[in-house]
Amino acid sequence: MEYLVVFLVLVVFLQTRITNLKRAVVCLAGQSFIIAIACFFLGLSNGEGIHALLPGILTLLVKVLFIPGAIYHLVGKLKNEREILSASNVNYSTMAAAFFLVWGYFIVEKLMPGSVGRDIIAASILMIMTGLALMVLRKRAIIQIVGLITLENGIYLLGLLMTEGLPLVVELGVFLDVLIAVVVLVILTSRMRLSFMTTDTSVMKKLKG
Amino acid sequence: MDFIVISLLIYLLGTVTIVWPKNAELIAHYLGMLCAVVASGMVTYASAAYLLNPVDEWLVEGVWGSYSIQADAWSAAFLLLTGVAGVIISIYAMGYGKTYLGNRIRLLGGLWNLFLLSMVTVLIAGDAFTFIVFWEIMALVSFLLVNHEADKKKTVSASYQYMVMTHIGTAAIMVAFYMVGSCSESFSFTDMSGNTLSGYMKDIAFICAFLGFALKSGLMPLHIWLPNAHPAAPSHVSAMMSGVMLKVALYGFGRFAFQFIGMDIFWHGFVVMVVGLISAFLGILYASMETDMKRILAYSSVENMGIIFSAFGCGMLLYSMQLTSVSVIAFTAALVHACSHSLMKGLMFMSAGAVKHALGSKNIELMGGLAKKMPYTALFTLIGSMSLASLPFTSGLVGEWLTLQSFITLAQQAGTPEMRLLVVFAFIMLGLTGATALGCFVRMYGVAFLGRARTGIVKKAHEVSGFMLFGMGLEAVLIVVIGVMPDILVNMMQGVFSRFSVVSMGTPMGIIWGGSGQYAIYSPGIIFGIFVIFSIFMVAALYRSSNFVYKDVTWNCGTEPTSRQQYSATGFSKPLRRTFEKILSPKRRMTYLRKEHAYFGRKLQYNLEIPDLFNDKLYKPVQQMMINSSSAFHKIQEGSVSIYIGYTMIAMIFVLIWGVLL
Amino acid sequence: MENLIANIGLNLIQGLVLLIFSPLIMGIINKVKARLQKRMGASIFQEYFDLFKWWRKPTIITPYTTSIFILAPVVYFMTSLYAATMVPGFLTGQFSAGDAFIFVYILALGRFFMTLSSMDAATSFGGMGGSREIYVSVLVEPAIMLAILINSLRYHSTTLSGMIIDYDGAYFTISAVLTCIAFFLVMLAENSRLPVDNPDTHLELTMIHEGMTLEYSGKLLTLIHLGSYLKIIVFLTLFGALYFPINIPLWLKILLGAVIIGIVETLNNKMRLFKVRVYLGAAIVFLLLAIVAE
Repeated sequence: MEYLVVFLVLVVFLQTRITNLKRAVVCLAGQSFIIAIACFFLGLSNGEGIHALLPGILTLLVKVLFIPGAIYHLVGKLKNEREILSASNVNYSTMAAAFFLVWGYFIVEKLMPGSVGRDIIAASILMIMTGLALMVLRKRAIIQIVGLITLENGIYLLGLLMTEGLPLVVELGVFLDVLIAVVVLVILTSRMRLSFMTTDTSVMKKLKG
Repeated sequence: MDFIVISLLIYLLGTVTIVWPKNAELIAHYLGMLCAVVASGMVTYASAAYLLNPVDEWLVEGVWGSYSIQADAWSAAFLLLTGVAGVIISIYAMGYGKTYLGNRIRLLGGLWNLFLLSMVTVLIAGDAFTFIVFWEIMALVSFLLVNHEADKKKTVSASYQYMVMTHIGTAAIMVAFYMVGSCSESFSFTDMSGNTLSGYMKDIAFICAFLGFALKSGLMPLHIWLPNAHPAAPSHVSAMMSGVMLKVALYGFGRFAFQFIGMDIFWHGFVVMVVGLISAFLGILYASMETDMKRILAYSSVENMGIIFSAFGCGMLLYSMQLTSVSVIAFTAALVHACSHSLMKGLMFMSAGAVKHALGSKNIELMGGLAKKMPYTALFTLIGSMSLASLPFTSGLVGEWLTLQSFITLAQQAGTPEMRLLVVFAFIMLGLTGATALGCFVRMYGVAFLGRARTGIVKKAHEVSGFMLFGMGLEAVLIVVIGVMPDILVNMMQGVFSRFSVVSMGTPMGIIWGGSGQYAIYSPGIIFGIFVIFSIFMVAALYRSSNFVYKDVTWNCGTEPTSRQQYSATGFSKPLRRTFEKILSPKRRMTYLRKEHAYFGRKLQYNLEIPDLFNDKLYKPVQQMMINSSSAFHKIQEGSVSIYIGYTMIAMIFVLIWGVLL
Repeated sequence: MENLIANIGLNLIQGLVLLIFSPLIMGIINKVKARLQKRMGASIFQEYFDLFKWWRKPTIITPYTTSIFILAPVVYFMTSLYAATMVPGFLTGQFSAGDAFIFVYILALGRFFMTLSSMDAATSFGGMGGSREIYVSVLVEPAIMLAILINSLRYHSTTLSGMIIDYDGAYFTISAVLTCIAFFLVMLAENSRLPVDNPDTHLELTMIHEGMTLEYSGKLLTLIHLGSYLKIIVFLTLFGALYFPINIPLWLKILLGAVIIGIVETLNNKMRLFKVRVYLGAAIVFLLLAIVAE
């Protein structure tokens, strides 16, 4: 489990530094894959049968295969699209992520000292905040979607640990929710590309009355 | 099985005509209206029977889970009013609705049924949820009905204004219900009547309830939607909205006053009464400045709702002073006037519809001499106008008389100088209102129906179809019958308050009232009899010679008089406009046009605009303030998604820090 | 029931009596005015001759009119006559089919039809008269309402017979005097007498009531005139019976009232139309003071 957390943190840090869209998507798939393994791990340690495996399978299907696949497909259609960033932006993201990691451990110590999965909690807080930071700091719609899913993964991981297996209905609901959100976002992004010839969300400012 | 429940089912059946095949639209229309007539007839029958034989049980009762219906006498009075208006106006609508053939007529008929259904259900609702749900349906359906002629830009803006205003009202009512409900066991009305609301909370609940219901009934600072929505709606819809929907608001307010909040706080009644009086006077003052027939009627609704609420407020005052038995007169006055206003405003909106149907215009400045083209409509409108001017032998005076008596009872029984001054104010306001109402309807009737045609559109005018005349005639007959024999209605309405009644007001002679000292009596039957007998003598005396009148053109200094020499409606109200210049602040603009002929004077164009006082002094500043504050908030609302997510992030960090530090 | 019929009969007889005497009162007013202007003036019975003359003349009406035009004088006369049966004083005092408010609204019925008829002939003067009549009535009505309120508060009744001034108690009070003056002012306005309206001329600058009746002739004109004479005597009776704070017989009060009207009309000019609101505002203020002083 500890190895998983280390990998997760690594992937998240990597994510803050990636500017190429395709690489970002691959990185996202990797991150989700780690989450899926964590799911299997936690599921098997807590229960058995289909209920133990289902979250992991769903994560694998939806977050590792379907969503990154869809985004990758979309990215494939985009030409000349890449996050044009100053190095300072990337550095800010990484620094923010580092800060969040420290902050996460601090919170865990403060709020629930001596809890079992303090690393996982800290990692999930890191993911939540980093996802938000990605959405705030980056301009390309694709990276923002990636940020959203990172955020979502963080929440999911936290929920998984805290409740030791969410009720099935809630899990299904969460997946449906994310799926639909991503579908909508993907559609919107491609519409946006058609209308504005770019997926830079800063052009949306023009729409403001 | 209950008549009311069956009638609800029939209304539902009528609603289904929306999906009738399109090639038989007219059948759908007739079928829908027939459903409305039958169902309303059943509602009328059930509630009238209940009111005539007061028994100690609910008129209708039922529970489905947390939803329930129950109707007591207070509901029954309004059900009666709804039923009567429903029958008559639906008959009228059979004829009038045909003008919408090919223009979503099925929708009109179906929504009409749904509208009636929602009003009846609001009246029999037994808990707050049912009330709010159907209140909301009522608001939405009436919005759709107002918006029926959506191809006109004015209609759309009027109906959206109505929508916004009515939802503010609903919000206030919901707050009031919530406040009362949170202090009682459940949200059913029976439980809510035993609530433990006290102190400031009671005052706040009262303010919310009054705000919400006053908005729906169009009392003065909140009336702003009413003169726009009524002219925009199809005529039978405005008749129903003005005749019944405004009264449903009174029902709700009465429910709060009698059951939930109680009437033992003095200033509650005071506020209701003063707001009512101000609405009465200002409403009719604006009415007598308008030239659009339906706007006149809409403002007149503001006036009449003002009178009704002032009587109700007077009753609350009497009740708060432990004068329970005499407070009956004020509540009876409110109910009787509500009933008669429902009749007469229904009639007047129907005749406005008939005129619009015949002429294609609602502007009375373009009319004149309609009485010759549409004799029956003219007769019915005359009766309606007399009633709205509260003249003897019409139902209008009955409510007005009871209102005046209740005011004088307040002064007499309370006996304090403060109460006397309040009543002096009330009398001045009602005196002004009564005389202005007379002037307003003389003006409307005289300009539209009498004299000579002012424009060519009158030439093509024709009498309207049988259904419409029948509806109007029925209403006119009811007005005169109640006006001559008011005791039936008064007794029925007094029976609603039997729990604190001691005196009987209706006798076969007429109505009597002893709470203000020596017994005062109004027996229109006798007066009417004397009038009829004398008139017969008089007419006999006049027509004794065979050729009693000669007809010849008026002497006009040697020229033939033209129709433009008549007083216009704008001119007719000029003295009043000048007298109340401070309130009305009319905006006049005169433009001299090019001189076209060497020997004649120049053409003159005269524009008059009377802005609504509250629109200018209250709504526009508020609107401006909102715009200013929005543009301040605009800085925060950057339009960029990243910034918004940034806000979420900041909020989250804040929460986490807060969680850690505390 | 017999009692009721007897009372109605008495009421009607009183109405007819007032009807018979009403032209005489007008004659007296005119005589007083003439004498004060150092004229001989016509006989006090002149109005009877005038009415008789008008009744015999042919009636001509405009072709644009509707039946309201013929109905209006009848209703106007009827309402005045009915008001005459209602006032307390000579024969009645026990029963009436309506109280003071009904009295006001019965008169309003007459006004309603008269103003309508003024619009019916499709002339400028008619509309002008009707418009001004409404204007005056809007200002008069609150004052009349307040006058009713004062007496009903004082005597605990809203019936006219119950509101008769009570000479057993204290009746010459400040409040009573103020009410009396105010009612007199209101009476002049309501009956279209001089400071408000000039009944003698047909100038468009002055006419209110005369403007409305301009199109009438013959029998219909007779009815209108008789109706307005009746209205004056009715208001004088009301003035005497309800508000006059000196204990003298009623017929004397009416005569005195008529003489005062004559004097006031001689001493005053017709005031500008939009000054009327100040005039009637003064009446309302008097009544307010009277209620406060009560």
